[in-house]
Amino acid sequence: MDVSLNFLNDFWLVQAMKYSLWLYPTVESLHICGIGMLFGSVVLMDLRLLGVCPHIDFSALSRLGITVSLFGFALAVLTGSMMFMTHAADLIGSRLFLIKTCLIFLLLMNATILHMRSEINAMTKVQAMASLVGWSVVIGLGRWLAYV
Amino acid sequence: MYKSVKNFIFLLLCNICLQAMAHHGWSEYDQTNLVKLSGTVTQSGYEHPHGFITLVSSEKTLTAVLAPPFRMENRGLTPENIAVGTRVVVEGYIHRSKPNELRAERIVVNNKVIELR
Repeated sequence: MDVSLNFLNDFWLVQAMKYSLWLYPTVESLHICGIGMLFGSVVLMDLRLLGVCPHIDFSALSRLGITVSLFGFALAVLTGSMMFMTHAADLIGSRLFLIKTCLIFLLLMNATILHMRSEINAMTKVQAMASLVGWSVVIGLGRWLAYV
Repeated sequence: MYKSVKNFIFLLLCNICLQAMAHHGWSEYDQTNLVKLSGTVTQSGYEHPHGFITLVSSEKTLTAVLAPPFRMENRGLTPENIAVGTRVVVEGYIHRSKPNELRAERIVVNNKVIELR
């Protein structure tokens, strides 16, 4: 595993991430901005689905929420990939990273299915709950990665 | 509505617990045993997220994880200080599952002690 990913090291972006004093911290900050936009809007939409503030029109809320969350997700993926490349050899063998990535795919599927549903029922509430728990765990796992 | 809010607060607490556990991730390094090693630098990186040196001593070869470049710079550890061929002393903790990796608490270069934590 270690050897096969070493070629990434010569990539100019990886070199810049490692040796530019400002790039890495900037990318880290943008990653957090992305997470903030994604998680913030997901929490609002999920809480609404769970019955909080029923007077707010869900389709209006979700139009804004989905746009912001998609933008945040794209930003998080872009910056996350940059950090991944910088220590790809370590991360590719990490179980935590694998779990985090799989969980993100599951949550994307969950969100897509949720988006396709036409009414709020017991199942949408279960999915909203799963989304809240899931994204929280993703954030926790991501933070944890820095320490192992 | 109150149930959802309660659930949400519960989730937040779960997450805080997870983060607290995460912080113990430093315990991947055996902090009960402070190791001191002197040797010659054979490889080094003044890079993000942490600088590192590969150190060859009479006993063994190991990789010492240093600090982020900003901190190394602030504490007065320059790239030249850890250049290949330099003799240094590192003090730190060995990784529990990687016996050749050490998290350096401090490094001594040219009789200058630089704290890294």
